[in-house]
Amino acid sequence: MAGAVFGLVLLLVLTRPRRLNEALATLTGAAALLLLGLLSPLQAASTLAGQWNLLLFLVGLMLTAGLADAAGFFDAAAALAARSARGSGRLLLLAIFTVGALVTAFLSNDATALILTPVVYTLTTRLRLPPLPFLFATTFVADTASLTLPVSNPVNVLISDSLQLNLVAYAGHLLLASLLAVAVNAGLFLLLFRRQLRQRFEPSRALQPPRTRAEQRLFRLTTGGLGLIALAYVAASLARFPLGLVAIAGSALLAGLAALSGGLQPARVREHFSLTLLGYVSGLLLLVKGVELTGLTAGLVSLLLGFAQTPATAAAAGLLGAAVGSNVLNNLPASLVLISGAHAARLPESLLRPFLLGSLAGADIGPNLTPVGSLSTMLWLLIVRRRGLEVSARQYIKIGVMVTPAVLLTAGIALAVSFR
Amino acid sequence: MSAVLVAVSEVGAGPELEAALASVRLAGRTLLLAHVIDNGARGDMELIRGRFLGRPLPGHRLRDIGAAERDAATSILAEAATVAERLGAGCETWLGEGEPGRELVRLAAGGGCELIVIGARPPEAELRPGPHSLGSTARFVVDHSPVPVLLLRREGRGRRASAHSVVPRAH
Repeated sequence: MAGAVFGLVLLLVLTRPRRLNEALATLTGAAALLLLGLLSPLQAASTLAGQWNLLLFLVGLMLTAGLADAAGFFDAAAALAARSARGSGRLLLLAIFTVGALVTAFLSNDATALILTPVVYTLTTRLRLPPLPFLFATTFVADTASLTLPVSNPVNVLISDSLQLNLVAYAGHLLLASLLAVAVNAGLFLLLFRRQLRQRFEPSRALQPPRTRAEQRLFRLTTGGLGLIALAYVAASLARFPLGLVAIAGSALLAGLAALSGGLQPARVREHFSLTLLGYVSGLLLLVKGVELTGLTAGLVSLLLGFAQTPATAAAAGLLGAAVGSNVLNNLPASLVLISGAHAARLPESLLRPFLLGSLAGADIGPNLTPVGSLSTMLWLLIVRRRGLEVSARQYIKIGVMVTPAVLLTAGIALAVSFR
Repeated sequence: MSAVLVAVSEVGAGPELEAALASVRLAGRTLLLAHVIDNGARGDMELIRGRFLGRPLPGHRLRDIGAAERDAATSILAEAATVAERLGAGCETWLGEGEPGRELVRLAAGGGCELIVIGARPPEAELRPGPHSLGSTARFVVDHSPVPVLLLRREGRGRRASAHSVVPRAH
């Protein structure tokens, strides 16, 4: 029964009849579980309380990214990439990969995909370069580089919390995988877009109007604040201190610095904040808990691990399961189901960690296979058939299919080797 | 007096355009230099945002993007007009926004154009005659144009455009 409610909610989220709000769908589903007695209020409360770190992290992340954007941080990063490329399209792509990987590592994949992408589009338009390779670069690196640190993707916070990993253990398994994945991704892009990237550009076309003294001050303070936040994330991951608290404290620091320089713009920050996301995740957490109680998630994980007896094969099973799940559903519900199942199935310690870290890699990189890592957009594309979208969406899938399996394989091999 | 519609791509006026203008008999005709701001990339960004719920492109970003697109388009058309003037052709410019092939055909269908001049592929793409040798914009224009289309093929990267183009009669 709980499985049926979960399935129905997923179907609603995927098809979005009458542009139904996703948060409304998952929260209504969760309410149905409570009303049907499939989840007790106490279980619901303890599930949400158990994930306070994730929810706080999401809030802190959105606020930090919004404050950094309002201070001009992303525009400055893109301008730096343009300057360092010295007129070469190829070097610009590599510079954008580098900026994207750093932003993703410390500010998460959301910041890169949502904020850096339009900034890079504006830049390449001014430089009169074909925009698609660069748009794809920021979108892809947002996912590929999101293995780097526990803060680089909300999925990582979930999984490293559930495994109680500190940064040393995390990096021991995933840092090399992340670096290799980004390198393979960048290399394949250079190859696939070699013709578009032959073009040179005139760097002066991207010149920005000079900042006022107050804007300059806000930018410098914010950049300093972001440096501190990055250090705090590393220190907190080492000590296994809750990352949600660091994210909230970091956004408070940036807001304080902006207020100090007289440049706090609440409206600009609010544009990056989404209650829908928080509602959607809360509803999902409850729905997955309800399904977990029926034993379905444990059954699914046991099925996935059918023949996996070694850490390397468990990692491969997790990676494939999460990559497929991320493309059929979305990476958050897919990884929640796998985490719940792995713990409920009481996997031995020797398989639990490789399976979940494999799932992490699959849920982080997997979304690159289809435009947004979910069937919903594909359905939406078919339904709406917006002009202009069709050609690029097809190209998106083409690039995704050519690049993502190689990147997943690279990360998977590096991860499997780390368990030897 | 009828005009020759010349499609100017986002890379602007290159040797292709010069060759095109030189190869068309200009006497008595006006050139209509047309450039379309392709809004497909905005759609792509919306598509990407679909995964991160509840955060549409913020207003200030849309304004930045719009300004960058208009600035680039204006300078592209100004450069093309300079080339046309150098060749002694009278010209007008036209700036549209949308899906380039569709907008060019709509402009031509509005009357007053006797010919569309367009590059077979974006300038950065490799020229390989045969199936799929047309880019999506040229393909759409060839398929839907109500007037003849002069399709420009380049001989290869770095060389001047050739003037041995065919003039397929549309419809």
